[in-house]
Amino acid sequence: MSTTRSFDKSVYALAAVKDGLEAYSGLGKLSMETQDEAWTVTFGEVDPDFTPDELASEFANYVLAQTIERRH
Amino acid sequence: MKAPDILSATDGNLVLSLDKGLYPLDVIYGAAYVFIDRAYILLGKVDDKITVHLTPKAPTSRKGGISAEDMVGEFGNELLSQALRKKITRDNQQILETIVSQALAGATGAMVPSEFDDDDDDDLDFLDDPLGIAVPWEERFKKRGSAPAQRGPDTEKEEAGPGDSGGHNTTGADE
Repeated sequence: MSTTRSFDKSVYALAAVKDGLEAYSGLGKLSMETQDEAWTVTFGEVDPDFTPDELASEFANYVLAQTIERRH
Repeated sequence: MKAPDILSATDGNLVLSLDKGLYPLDVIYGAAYVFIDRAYILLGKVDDKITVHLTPKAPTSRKGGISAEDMVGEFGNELLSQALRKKITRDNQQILETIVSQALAGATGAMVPSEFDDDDDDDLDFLDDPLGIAVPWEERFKKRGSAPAQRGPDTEKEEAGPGDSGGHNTTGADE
């Protein structure tokens, strides 16, 4: 079971998404696809302590915080 | 300022739509950052509007935690607060820059206030006394001429010199 989150390029920073991939890599199999207007991250083989949705939501918060800290 | 539009509210998951003209991205970032410990937040973009997916971390309910409607209200208030903060910062930008630049210049010694830049007394030695501060009181206010000062109730019998405290006479000269 896997889930995805899309991060709009005009809102999020690529460096923040990459930071998140590195930080959360130990909790599941994370992969990123680049599309025209967004980066989509797929969360698979998630640590059994979390649901894929929980991990994806925490990841999204992390990426948002990283983006805000980079842009201020 | 217009309140955020609620696009959907299902199972505590809220999707808000914000006009970028009314709420700049910096303002939305600020409000989202404040809520990041209470809710899962995912920002998106649809046309000229920013969408905010808000999912409270604690279950929402009328009795216990915060309700979805309350969270929307609080998020709207936070947006307003951030917008005001941004306006105040922008209005005071010049003052802030002036204060910081003066502080930095002062720290590097580039700017010395004019009153400390007076080099008139650079050639004075530390023993010099141009204001006459070291002159004893008796010398400065000594009566001119030889007429003795009139004795008053507080005057001593003998003329007291500088440093004479009028204490006990150990020599026995008065006896």
